[in-house]
Amino acid sequence: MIECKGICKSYDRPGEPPLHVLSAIDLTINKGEFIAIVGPSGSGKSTLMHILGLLDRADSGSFRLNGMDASDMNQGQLAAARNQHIGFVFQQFHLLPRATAVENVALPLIYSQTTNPEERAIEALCSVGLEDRIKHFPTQLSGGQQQRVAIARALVTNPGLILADEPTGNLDQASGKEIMNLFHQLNQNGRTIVFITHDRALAAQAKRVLKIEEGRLSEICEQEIAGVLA
Amino acid sequence: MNWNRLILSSFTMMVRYKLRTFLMSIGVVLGVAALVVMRSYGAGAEQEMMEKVNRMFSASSLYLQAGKGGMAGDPAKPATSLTLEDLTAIQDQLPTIQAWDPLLVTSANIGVEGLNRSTSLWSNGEQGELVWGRSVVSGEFFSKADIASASRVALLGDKTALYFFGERDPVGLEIRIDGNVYRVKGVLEPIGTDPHGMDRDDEVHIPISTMMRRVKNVDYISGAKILVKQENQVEETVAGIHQILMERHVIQDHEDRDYSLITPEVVRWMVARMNRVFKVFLPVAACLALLVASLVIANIMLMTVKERVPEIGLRKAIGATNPQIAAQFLLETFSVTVMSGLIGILLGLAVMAVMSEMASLKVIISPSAIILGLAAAVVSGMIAGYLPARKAARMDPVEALR
Repeated sequence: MIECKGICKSYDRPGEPPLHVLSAIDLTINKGEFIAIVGPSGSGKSTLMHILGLLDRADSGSFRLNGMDASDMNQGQLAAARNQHIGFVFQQFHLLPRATAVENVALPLIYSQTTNPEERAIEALCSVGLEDRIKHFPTQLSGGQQQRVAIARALVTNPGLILADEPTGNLDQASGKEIMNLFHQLNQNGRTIVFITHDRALAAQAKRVLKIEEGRLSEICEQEIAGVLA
Repeated sequence: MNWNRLILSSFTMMVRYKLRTFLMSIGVVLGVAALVVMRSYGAGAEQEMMEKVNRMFSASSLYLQAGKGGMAGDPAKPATSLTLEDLTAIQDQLPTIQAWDPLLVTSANIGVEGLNRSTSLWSNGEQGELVWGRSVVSGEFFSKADIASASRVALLGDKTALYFFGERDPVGLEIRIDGNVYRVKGVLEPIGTDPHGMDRDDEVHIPISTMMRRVKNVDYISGAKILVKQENQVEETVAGIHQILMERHVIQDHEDRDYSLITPEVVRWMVARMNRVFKVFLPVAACLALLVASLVIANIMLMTVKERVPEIGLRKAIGATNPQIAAQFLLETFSVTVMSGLIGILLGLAVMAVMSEMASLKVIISPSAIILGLAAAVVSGMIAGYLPARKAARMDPVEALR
């Protein structure tokens, strides 16, 4: 599904040498994987996530999503690929405050050709267990419910890949657990899930854990996860 | 891209952000309303004035005025050099002249059975009815004999007649003009207010000879209206009149004339100039108001763009392209301005309805005013929406989502 080879990314800083956020990242993600990315703050997790999500371009290296080379794509093609193949979930939910749950969920369908956006949005809300909150505004929902609306929004275009940036970071433990259960369920239905977390216990729920430190990616094997947890 | 949904969502947001929408729309609503009112009022005023002018001053009429000219109220002392003999000479020598009627106006105190009131006193010759295009609705116009004998007869404006006699027919009854008894010969056809704002239905007319000999005791007139037989003879007639008068008044070419000749062309130009304030100046003022309204909207939209940075990042993440983001913000601005424009047009029409009802002003609902109002709304939308839309579209999604 995803193939990265030698991805580098650095940021220019005025008056200082450029900051190398990612250096020579090689990563292959197969369909149906459930991956956690861990690492300290500022290690480049989010940058990697943005590159995987086609929101940012690598300075060098190749990135392929479903066989398409990101460096060959123009802005419009990138936007279309984000719409069709990727669903984003953010720590801050990013729901429109004055739009109802169903309107928020239907938002990505504005940017695609869909004949029945309302129905599809309601379907997506049902799949995250919010069938009785369709007309509610975000302020009328709990944090966990808001994040589930955001997940429904990520699912509404039926993408193969869900990218979640600290999806439980703003939630209490119980709600966080709910969200993780939802991700497990989605993964069982065949979706590829990649999520960033600080929480090692959450990371341990993934089938594969990647660690970024100082811009370098390393794989943590199962025994290590146990060790890290201990 | 699903345009219907984008349009629907921008209208939904317009309703949900009521205060913001209100603040954005109020300027455009008022500006467009003002524009529509001024345009329509200007069109109405112009048409009304043109109708009056055409009636009083057709394309084949000339107005000869004693003195150098200038506007009414000019401090120059009244010119006394224009006489009836001048006019007779002109008619005798110029075959293109159909008829003429002298003008001499003063004000007088009119009294009937204890009612007294000062009003303007006009005078006519025997061709007055034809020359001024104004006849009587009851009774008769002055006869040749009335003029020849300077008889004490009078014609009343219909408002004057109503004031003094109520529903009674005044023809044959007596009135006093400055204490002297006159017999009412007829009631003049009502013609409303003239372009100077004078109520032409509240006045009294007497024969020119009576005015000159009995009322004012003068041997000059203040002017005359001259009818030319055919429109295309106006130019040669003007030249002929100049020649005759300069000879009779012994004026050299380099000297100032002691009369002025107003042609239909000059009259139309003067009317157009009077209407410029409605047709040009006030609409320009309204457009300036709209420009300010656009800037207010632009300001509010720029603030919402700032406030909605995460939303812009999110929309880009879920597949919006830069042009689509720009389109969304333009649409949001447009939906507000176009709606405001429509409300403004309705408000303008309502104001005009009330205005024409209460002030009995002639108002024309000109399609051009409505089109202008809508165009103004769309243009303000473009002015207001451009910068915020561009700013939103250019935002880096990674930065925006941070």
